[in-house]
Amino acid sequence: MAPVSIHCDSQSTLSKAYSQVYIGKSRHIGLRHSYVRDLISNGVISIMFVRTKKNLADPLTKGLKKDMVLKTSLGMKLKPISNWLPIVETQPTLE
Amino acid sequence: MLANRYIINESDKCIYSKVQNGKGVMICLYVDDMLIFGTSTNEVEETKAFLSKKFDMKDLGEADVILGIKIIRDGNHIGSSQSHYIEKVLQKFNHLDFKPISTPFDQSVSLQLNKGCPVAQLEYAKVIGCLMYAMTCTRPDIAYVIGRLSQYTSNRSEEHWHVVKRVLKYLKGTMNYYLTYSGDPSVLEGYTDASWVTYVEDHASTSGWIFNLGGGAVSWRSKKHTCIADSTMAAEFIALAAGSKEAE
Repeated sequence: MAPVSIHCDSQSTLSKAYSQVYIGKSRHIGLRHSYVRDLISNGVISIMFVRTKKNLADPLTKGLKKDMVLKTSLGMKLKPISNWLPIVETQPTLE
Repeated sequence: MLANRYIINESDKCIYSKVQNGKGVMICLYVDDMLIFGTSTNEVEETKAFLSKKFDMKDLGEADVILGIKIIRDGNHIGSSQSHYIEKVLQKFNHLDFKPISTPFDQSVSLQLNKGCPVAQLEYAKVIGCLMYAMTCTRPDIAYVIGRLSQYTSNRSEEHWHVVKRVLKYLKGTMNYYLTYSGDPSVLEGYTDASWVTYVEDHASTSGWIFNLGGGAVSWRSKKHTCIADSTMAAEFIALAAGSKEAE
């Protein structure tokens, strides 16, 4: 089975994940590092870089601006029903 | 079922499948509801006949609503919507005629623990519960704000209510949104992200991950970290590990 590609928007995290050893001090990061390393070497996941603007997980961690909310929703394929008959007026208006 | 060469899906025990000569059937069970998928109508009919011999069941025809999620077919797309549920929720909390807002959460609002006595706790818990159901089923876009709000369920202040109102208004504007799946690309794609120290009071960060399959989102989570990250990199790494766990 092909590895599941996971996109990450931090270059330093990416290089850390692919480096053999973790030289930090905190153990909880070290543990996760070896876990991620394991998964990569077993071919379960592969990690790729993505621009923050294209990261779909962005709205799950912070409140975003209007254009980004729209863009990420579209990326998740969360979109309005084309032939939906609204009972009430539902068009989003400008604030 | 197993005697008739149905195979249980190892990762989800409620799914049975049978594939023979390139034709296949899948059965999804949830307590007393069932969905049958097949590569052709013949296969589905056969399965139905087989099942009705063994069990007492009612055929409701083509699936329309399952577990409160409406299934929408639009050309070669398939989608899941909860517009009717969201409308009901809005009606229940008297938000049907408010002006819609285009974002679910305003970053400039800092939510903090209420030091005073709680206000209308039951109502708050109710609305959070309703919204959480919509969020877990079809609305990944409000996952963060719901996660954030639900942490103050035990003791909320007036400020939290304003944020709830904002979510309701946002949902009003986006009530007719639905998740669509087109089957292309047919590989799993994951995205992870973290934001460092979102919680001022205990310095915890938030991580989020989402998986897309067939064009649409299939699995997502927004979670407050249980351990404290000392840098953005560490926070992102925690998110990455959590996302990888799901991928595994």
